[in-house]
Amino acid sequence: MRPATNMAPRDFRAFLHRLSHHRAIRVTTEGTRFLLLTLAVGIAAVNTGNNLFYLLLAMMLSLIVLSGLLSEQCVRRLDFHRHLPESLFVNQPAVATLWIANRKRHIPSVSLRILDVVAGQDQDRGIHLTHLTPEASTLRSYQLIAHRRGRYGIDGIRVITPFPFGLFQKKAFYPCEATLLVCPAIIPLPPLRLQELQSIGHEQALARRGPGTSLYNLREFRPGDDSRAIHWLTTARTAKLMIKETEAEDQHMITLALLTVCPDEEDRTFERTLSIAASLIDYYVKRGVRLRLLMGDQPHLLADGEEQSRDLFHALALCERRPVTASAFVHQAMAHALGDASEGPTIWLCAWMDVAWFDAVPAVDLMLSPHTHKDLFDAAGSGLPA
Amino acid sequence: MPLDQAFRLSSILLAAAGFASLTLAIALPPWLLVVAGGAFTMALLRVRHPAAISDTMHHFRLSALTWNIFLLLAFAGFWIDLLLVSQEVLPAGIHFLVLLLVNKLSNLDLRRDFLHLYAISLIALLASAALTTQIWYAPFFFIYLIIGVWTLLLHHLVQEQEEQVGLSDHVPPATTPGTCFPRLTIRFFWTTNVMAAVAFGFTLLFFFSIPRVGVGFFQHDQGESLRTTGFSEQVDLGVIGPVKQDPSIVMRVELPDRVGHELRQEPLYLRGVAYNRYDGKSWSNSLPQRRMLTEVPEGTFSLRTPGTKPQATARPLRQDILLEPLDTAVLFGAPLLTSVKGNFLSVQSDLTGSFHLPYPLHTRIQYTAYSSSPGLNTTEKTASALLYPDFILRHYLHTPDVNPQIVDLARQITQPATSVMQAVSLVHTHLLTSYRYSLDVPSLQSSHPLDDFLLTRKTGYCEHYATAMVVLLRTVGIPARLVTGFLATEWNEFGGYYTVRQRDAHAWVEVYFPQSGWLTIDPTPPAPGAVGPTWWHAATSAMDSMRLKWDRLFVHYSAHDQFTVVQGIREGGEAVRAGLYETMSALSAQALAIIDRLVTNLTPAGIPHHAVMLLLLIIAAYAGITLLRRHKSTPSRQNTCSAQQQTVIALYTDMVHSCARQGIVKPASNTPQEFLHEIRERWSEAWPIVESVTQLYARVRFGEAPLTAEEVTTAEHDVRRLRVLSRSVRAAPRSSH
Repeated sequence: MRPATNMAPRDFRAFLHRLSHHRAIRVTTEGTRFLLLTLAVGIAAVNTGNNLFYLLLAMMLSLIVLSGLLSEQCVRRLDFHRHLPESLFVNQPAVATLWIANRKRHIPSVSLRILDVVAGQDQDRGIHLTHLTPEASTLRSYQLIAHRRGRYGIDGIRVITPFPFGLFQKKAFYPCEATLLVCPAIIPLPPLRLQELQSIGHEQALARRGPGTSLYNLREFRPGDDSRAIHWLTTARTAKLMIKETEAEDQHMITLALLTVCPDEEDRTFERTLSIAASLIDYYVKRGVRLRLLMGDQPHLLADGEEQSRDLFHALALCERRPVTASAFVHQAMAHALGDASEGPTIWLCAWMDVAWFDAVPAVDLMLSPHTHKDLFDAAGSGLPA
Repeated sequence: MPLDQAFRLSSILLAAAGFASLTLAIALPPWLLVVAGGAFTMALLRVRHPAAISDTMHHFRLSALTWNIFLLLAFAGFWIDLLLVSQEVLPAGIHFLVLLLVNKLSNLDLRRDFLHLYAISLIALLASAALTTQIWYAPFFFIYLIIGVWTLLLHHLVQEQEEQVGLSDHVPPATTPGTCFPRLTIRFFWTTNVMAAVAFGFTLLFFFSIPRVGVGFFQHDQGESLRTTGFSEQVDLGVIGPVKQDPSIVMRVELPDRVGHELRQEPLYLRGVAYNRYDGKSWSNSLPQRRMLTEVPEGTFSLRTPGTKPQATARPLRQDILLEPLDTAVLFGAPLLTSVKGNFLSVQSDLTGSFHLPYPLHTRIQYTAYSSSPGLNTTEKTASALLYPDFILRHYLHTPDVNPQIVDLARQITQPATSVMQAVSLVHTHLLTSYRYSLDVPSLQSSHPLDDFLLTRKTGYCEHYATAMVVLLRTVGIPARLVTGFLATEWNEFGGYYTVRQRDAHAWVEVYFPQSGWLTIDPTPPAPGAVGPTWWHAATSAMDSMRLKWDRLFVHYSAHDQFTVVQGIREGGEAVRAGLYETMSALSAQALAIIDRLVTNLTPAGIPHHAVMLLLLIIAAYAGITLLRRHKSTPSRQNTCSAQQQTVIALYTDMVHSCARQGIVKPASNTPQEFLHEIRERWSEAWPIVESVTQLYARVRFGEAPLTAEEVTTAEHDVRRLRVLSRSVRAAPRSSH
């Protein structure tokens, strides 16, 4: 490593920045008073030349130095490992786990506060370690709540200790990068809208045999049939082995078409639209409906079941708003994509309606927009959380 | 003991340490002592029996308004004290401080009350430092430091504990139900004490290294000066007697150039003032003219005493003297002083060779004195008559109206003498043998004290003996003078110095010889000393030695001492460097000589000598480099992996590099499994390969499973496939362009 004096000014500045990033000291209120008192004793010693004043000054300086040395020992040689959920939803708490190990052989770490560093800012997670013995480790879990959709990056971990005297707070930074996706908030949908959503596509659905609970047909038992499906009442009545066939449940597909074009001033509405989309996905997936998500001019995504629905949520998390100038292109691309789709009903979701292209919107089963469903989009009016 | 109880106890002890040091430094009024003592007792009882005392206090607890009125009254009392009673800021301020202490001890409820208590205790310690320089300050300071570390640490831990359980700023009593504090452990006890010891070490380090740049704007004299007798312009015969019982320490003298056992039995004369005129009842100096001594080099004031001839061979006696504050400006030193070195503005000397400061200093002073003690010239030892200069004859042969009986006595004593020196010896012997030493002599009331001593009572002490000898010698024409000073006989074994007390005040005689100068002669027989218990003497000596060290190292530590230490270190470093250089030079010379002989013996005839030397050098360099490489390749503690593990680590590293080329960098904080998950998300085609290598890596590296040859081959094949895949993926965008 080159000595600091030989460094170019830019290197030196970078070195200082790194240094200040990794170690920092904040003086507490008690520490400020202690420093002022030390200064006063120092002035008295210099003014009087009294060596016993110098002795007191030396004592106070030694406490300051001891404080620095011990706090440095506390925050040194720690090891962190964070376990995060793959994704989370806006305003919905998720549990993160932090494994903390003291790698020092003889010196414990005392009075540690552990914070996440997110975008350069310290975020207190309420993790406090009173004592971590040498070569020991501990596991702490905490709640993680994100308030914005998108990528949530954690730069690292900040360790703060006021040990031993509470005069200073030594801060150390441990790089421990992690990124997770924050999906749009899932909001409760109004009951009226739920009925409306339930009815969509039912008229298009054809009754067919399949797994389910509703009765589809009764027929005579054939070799190879599941004996558990025998309908004993009918068998007794007809004196023949009769078997019960069930109707397949919710096997239809719904397409969610999300118009990503929206002017800048409608950004909040756009985010609300994404939330509604996420809530619809959640609603339908829980009912076993297969989903197709079409977001603007992007390729569509398919999901069948909760496992695959994660991809849809992730796509919504990363969905970017397109400017109004791209309206024509996006409308055409969406019309083309919907034209190709032949299966199931379509729900059109938009935060903003382009009058010029209104007629170009293909025929859909349900259109959800601030104009048509004001209560759903207007959080204040609907009483739903924003 | 629970944490919070220990915290309260240490807080009160800290305040007690500050208060105790204050009590020793200044005499506090008894009522204030009683009030403060009561407050401490109550505070300690609250720690020990919190429930009982809290119940009792509940009935007698004063309201906040009452305490505020108490504080206002105390502040008014401060002004009354300042203006009417003590009429000084420091005592009045200290009285007020003690009242504040009482207030805080009685109201230790909130956290800020404890912080105020610490500040008050620190100010108390500061005030006692301003008032005293006595050695008792040292143990109090040490105790304060130890308790201070304990208190600050406990304060922090209790605060942290309370924050965790969500308590407010209010500090609950020790046994508040529901508040559970951990108990102190033995480990905590010793750890805290080690911390305190380290703090003490740092304190000493800082104390000695903080530059002494005191400007002394508000410096004031410390304490009162010691009253001395026998060093004024005129000294009545018999004034020394009353102080001969006073054990107060006047000075301490070290002789750095002499070995301890040389000095143990040898008394040291410390010359103060010389007198040449005796009027029958008192001594005075008729040569009071003083001149300023030249300061060359800086801080050293030199003198050649008029009438003395410095001997070229005489080795000056160096004395390091720590002089207590005295009411005289005389500088003491062994006869005869030639120079003094110290932090003085100026030094003066009179014609009798005495050294003076311009005015008495009311602080301890430390200086180094250099003295040359002349020996008697062999010629003058046997000379029957001496030729004295006029100056000497004029000023040192004067006698008052001496009783004719004394004149007869002088002639009678010196009649057998064949030389001047023999006459001096005869007088000296006569006084030693014919008179009795006693301090019980009412000389000051007598109108003819010398007659009483020589002719009537024949009992006296040093002044009488010295006066008698001077008068007897002058009567027979030998110039002499009386000298007052101290006779140091108390050797401190522990400190290696003389302790000089008031009771060591002494008077003796200086006799003049034209070639040899002034010769010191003491006609006083040794005083019958009171022998105390040996252990007591040893204890007082040890205590005094500690006191001296305290004074030297702490109270009078100065910029000059710092400079001396730095210079010593530098000189020591240079000496070590020079020694090392010499040793290395000698070793290398020997090694070269051996190699040269070896080369000469081994070199076959006809081969140049230098060629063999060069070859040897090359071989040595090669061996050195090989050794260095081997040392570097020695596995460190972190790299103590088996060969199999290293193989799998290398394969895994290759795989990670291939992924990095694809833009998927593995952060150091990510585990292999997390990295695998990331690959699945971002580069699904590579996932099966990466998964296979990762599983193998985890199994062998961390599980220490054995690695088969087939597994190695498969893993190498996988890594190659990954590399190809990476290249093909990177080539694809290029081809699409």
